[in-house]
Amino acid sequence: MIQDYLFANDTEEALAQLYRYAGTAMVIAGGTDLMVNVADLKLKAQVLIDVTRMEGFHKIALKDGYLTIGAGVTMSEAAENELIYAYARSLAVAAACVGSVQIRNAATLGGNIVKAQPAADAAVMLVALGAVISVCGRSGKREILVEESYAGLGQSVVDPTKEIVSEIKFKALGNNQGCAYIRLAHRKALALPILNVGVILSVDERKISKVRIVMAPVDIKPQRAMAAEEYLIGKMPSRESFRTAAAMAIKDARPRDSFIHGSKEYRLSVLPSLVEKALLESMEEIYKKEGGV
Amino acid sequence: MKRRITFILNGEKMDIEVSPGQMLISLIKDDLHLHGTKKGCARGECGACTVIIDGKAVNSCLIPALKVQGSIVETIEGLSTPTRLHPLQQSFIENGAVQCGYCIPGTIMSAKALLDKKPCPTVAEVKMGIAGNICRCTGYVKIEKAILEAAQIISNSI
Ligand SMILES: Cc1cc2nc3c(=O)[nH]c(=O)nc-3n(C[C@H](O)[C@H](O)[C@H](O)COP(=O)(O)OP(=O)(O)OC[C@H]3O[C@@H](n4cnc5c(N)ncnc54)[C@H](O)[C@@H]3O)c2cc1C
Ligand code: FES
Ligand code: FES
Repeated sequence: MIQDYLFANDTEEALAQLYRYAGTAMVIAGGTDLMVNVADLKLKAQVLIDVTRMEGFHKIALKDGYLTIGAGVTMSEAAENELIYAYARSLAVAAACVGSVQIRNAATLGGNIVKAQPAADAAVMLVALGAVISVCGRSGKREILVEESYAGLGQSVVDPTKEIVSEIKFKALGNNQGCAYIRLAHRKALALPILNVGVILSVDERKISKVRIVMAPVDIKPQRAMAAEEYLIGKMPSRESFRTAAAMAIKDARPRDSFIHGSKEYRLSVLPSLVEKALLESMEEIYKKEGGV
Repeated sequence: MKRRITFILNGEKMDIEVSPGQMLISLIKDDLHLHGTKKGCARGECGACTVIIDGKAVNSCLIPALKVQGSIVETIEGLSTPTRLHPLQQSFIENGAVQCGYCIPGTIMSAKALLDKKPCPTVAEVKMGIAGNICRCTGYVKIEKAILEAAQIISNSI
């Protein structure tokens, strides 16, 4: 039973409220995950601390080559934001894939990360972008890679009864970099991904200098295609090298048979095509950018 | 502990006590007796409960009532006057876009939020705008046509 519902004006106040209720209070942002828990009678928290009206929580800014995004930015805001579109286009694409208009108008990026679902659209792309979250607690602020924020299936290292994610930060993509987000699902709306892939690719002097390929749901958290990434470093970007790398992606994927997501065999057989498509799309973006390779 | 909130509902100022665990849909239907908004799944998946908060379509089954403090809320009841239907409502009737009707208030609210923002949407934008509203009867074709026609009527009248 929810006994009380409070709005916090800033992180200080939110932390003080969480502390006062010592474990029985929990952060709520858009509520699109939490309120389903309420409907299922699964919510343990008695007090909810609403962080969506906190100062700076919706802010999106470009500073010193980094894009910083308030954890309270909604999927709709992210999908339509010009800075995100210019410097991390695929994050806007991923945000636009979430649920439906109604869900996107409420769902936040912070909630998407803390919910820690392996195939959460925005979180998968944020792992590809190498994003870091600022986590505020009673003893101060710490920074954690989104990639390292998973503690288990649906389990985050962030404890929403004690801590608040205030901000998400990553390097804005340059002219020699491209990104892509590809999602396979039963329908175009209100369907969880069968598979999703996020990629960022950097090309220097016509050779691949950096690449991050993230696949989900093929493990308990978004999974890097390490073997494919290693293979690509130093290679010329080409259809052949992308195809070879894409075939290697399954080495790092361990999908299970799933009623919602499809069989293991099916997903392992389509995964390489999605990785290949994402690599090609990232390369196309580099070609399109002015002054690109 | 009940808390007092004030907000604007369909143009009227509200000042009302709500429970902390109460969803907006329950405030609208159980306390304010506005039964146009429908409850289908109660988990964000059908869109029957769609209302507009500060210009944005949301699922009222997932929004804690306390969240609307200080906001402007629109429900299906706010669209027409006693003598005149909203162009979307008129167009849905004329196009035969309503069968059992259960999904319609939600779909119309999604369509209104879309047209308020994009007065002349493309077919793709209409499809995207109502993708969160499930209809088990119509097959959507007439709904899409009704929304596109209403958009035209609204832009011609401005
Ligand atoms: C019908 C439906 C469809 C959906 N479709 C998709 C989909 O296609 N793709 C997808 O990725 N997700 C989907 N979701 C899941 C959900 O919408 C997202 O995970 C969303 O981003 C969660 O954000 P929120 O703000 O609503 O989180 P909330 O429900 O408010 O919170 C989720 C969790 O995160 C914690 N939390 C939230 N913000 C913070 C913060 N700043 N600091 C610390 N802890 C925090 C909360 O305590 C809670 O434990 C769907 C949900 C529904 C109901
Ligand atoms: S009742 Fe709210 S979305 Fe189904
Ligand atoms: S008209 Fe019956 S569900 Fe849409």
